[in-house]
Amino acid sequence: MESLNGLAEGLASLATLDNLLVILIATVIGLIGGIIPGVSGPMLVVVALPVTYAFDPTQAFIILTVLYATSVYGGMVTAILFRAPGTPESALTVLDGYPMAQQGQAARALGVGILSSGVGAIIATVGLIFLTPILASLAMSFSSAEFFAIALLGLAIVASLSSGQIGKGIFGVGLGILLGTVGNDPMTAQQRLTFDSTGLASGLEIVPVLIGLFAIPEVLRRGRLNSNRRFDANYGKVKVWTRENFKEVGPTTVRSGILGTVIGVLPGAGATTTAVLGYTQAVKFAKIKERFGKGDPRGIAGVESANNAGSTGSLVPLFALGIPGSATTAIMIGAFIMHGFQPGPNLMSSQSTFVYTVFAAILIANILAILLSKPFINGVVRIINIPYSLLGGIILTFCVIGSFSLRNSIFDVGVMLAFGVLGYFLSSVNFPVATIILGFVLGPIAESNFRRALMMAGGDYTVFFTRPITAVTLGLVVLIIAVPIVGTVMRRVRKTPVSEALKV
Amino acid sequence: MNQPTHVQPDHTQPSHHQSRGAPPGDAEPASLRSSEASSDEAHLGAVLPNGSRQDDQQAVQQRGTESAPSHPDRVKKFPLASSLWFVAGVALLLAVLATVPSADGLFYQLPRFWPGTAVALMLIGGAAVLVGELRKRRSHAPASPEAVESTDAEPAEAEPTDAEPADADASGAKDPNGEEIHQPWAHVLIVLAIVAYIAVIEIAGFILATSLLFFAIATIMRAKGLIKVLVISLGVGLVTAYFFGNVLSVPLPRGLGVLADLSRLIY
Repeated sequence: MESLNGLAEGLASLATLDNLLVILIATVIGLIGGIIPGVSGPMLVVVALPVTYAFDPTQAFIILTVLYATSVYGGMVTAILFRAPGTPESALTVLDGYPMAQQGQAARALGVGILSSGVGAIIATVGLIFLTPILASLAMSFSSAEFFAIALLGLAIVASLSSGQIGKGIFGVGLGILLGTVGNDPMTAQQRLTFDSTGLASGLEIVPVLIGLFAIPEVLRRGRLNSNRRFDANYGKVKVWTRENFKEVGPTTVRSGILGTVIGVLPGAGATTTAVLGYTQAVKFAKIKERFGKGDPRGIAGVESANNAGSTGSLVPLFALGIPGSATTAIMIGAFIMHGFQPGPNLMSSQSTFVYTVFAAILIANILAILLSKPFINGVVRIINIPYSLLGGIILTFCVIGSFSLRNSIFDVGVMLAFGVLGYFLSSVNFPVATIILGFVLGPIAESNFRRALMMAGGDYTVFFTRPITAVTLGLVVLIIAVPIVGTVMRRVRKTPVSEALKV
Repeated sequence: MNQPTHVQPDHTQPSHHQSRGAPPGDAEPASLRSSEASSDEAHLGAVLPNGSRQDDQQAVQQRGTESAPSHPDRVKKFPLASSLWFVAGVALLLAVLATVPSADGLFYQLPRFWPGTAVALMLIGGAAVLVGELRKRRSHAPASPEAVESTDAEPAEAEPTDAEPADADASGAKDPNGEEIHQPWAHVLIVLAIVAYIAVIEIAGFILATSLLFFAIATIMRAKGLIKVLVISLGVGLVTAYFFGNVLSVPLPRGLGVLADLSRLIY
């Protein structure tokens, strides 16, 4: 089978010392980053992006994907021990993890966490290796109309997921698309929104925008908090691969892993979305539900399996279609462009060695992460007691240099700062920043495919309705947008008597 | 407000713990304020019926420590914060019309087509936010003070308003996640530090400017041990200069005169 051959090839090309070293270092950094609250996968990827420019494309992508995949492991540690998740996608692990820690079961919670993270990740990696080529070959028959519809689907999904505030979601998507139009109009070569500035003439560089929106606001926020707090943790021996664990959380873990992989494949849905769904399904399928929220290990398993699966799953559309499956993978599109690759279904056929090498690296990295999780957790106290006053400075320094080094441009550092300030205000009003990211990346894809589709059809709009895949996808888009709107209207109508009752 | 996401080693509000139980059979997860502003996707939130009740109690508790106004006629005032989105959309519409040239031809080939679509989305979204806020205000009894407070509370309901989070900042007590604010102006100072960096880097050169930036940030965040911080600052400047300037061959600014010559030692 193509996938197995490819995998064998990929593993073979990894058998060099520097490739393995790259995987190891990226795994270690990813694990540590995930454990430290305030450092997360997207942040690691976006700050590492400028650094990977100097590496060859295969190693560059190994670094980025491994950082992303392994960063999801560590978030649960501080979630369980200190009620402060190390990464956003582990936020729900607090619901059952922290109560377990309070009941003296921290070690057990951590063991379950490692187990479910690992299983979910492996399921998704297998999915990645086998699903991507299938999706890519399906997509060979896609033309511009289909790609337009899929890009729109991604935008619709990310907008509708915005914590029930679909209005802000749509706004964010619009803003992202608008930012993506800055620069040259690809068809008419007219300058759009550049205000005669040389810095903007070729468009907004994606990396400073992303660093500004993702990494800077967190540093600004944490800068105001006490940076010299010391954390201490005592827990017993952490056991992962025990029969007891398998029996108790096995089914939940596998279900969440599969669910996470499938949902992660959808454009616009990544690790945080799948984490929620993982928790939801854990509760739904449980016979005894009373313990959820009070320390049910299945609560941890549901979340951790799904978030690892979702993050790896979101790589599928990236490699198969060239359409990002999440905000973090949207960042990786920037890496493709940087190294001169054309993301799209042709990537699998024209660069299959490259793709399978990266996949194989992800597999190895996940295995490494599972093995290293326990020793890292045992050293967690030392890790998280690095004062943020120094850590924040390092993060910020890397952000600044990273933004500068892309075009040797101080202007880009200014862009980073401007978006950092914007991002700070947006996050303080609970605005879904990911919509802007995906709008920024998917907007140009949607635009060029829309125009091309119409041109190829000679201006005939029915092309979007007569092509079956396009029509179905666009129908989905309408549903995804319409349902939350209808839902909020109906919910509000229903809410009034209920909220009155609760208030007294 | 449910606060599952931040460290509170000194549990001042123990009522949180008992309250946060997931009712059996109700599959929706509790509402959350993600600890990181930059989540991978959008913030997700749905509400348990008893979760929201705790939020309201929380909001009432927090009101005591803050100087938030709670006069009933606030409800009748125009929702300023919520209308900002729509206003921003209008402003950008004007910007697009002003800076993107119009042309003749099929509409989807015009330069204004796609930016126009983007702005249209922003206007629709902004309108949705505004309409949502107006409807919510109308559905609450106007004379009840609790209605005002729940409108102003942080994500207490499935559709959180973006009401003033600045209240917490002004009183200097806690940030929206419930953590204590030690350096209330840190975010402003950090931004200014970066501005200063941009201003001096061509003159001072990369190593000096970066070392100063790091030192400034560490000081803003009140790092301990002056000598230690100085040494680390210099170390950061040198190491990053070597790594980016030498290993990655990025042409970093050298600065003027003596500083330029010194920089050649590293890269």
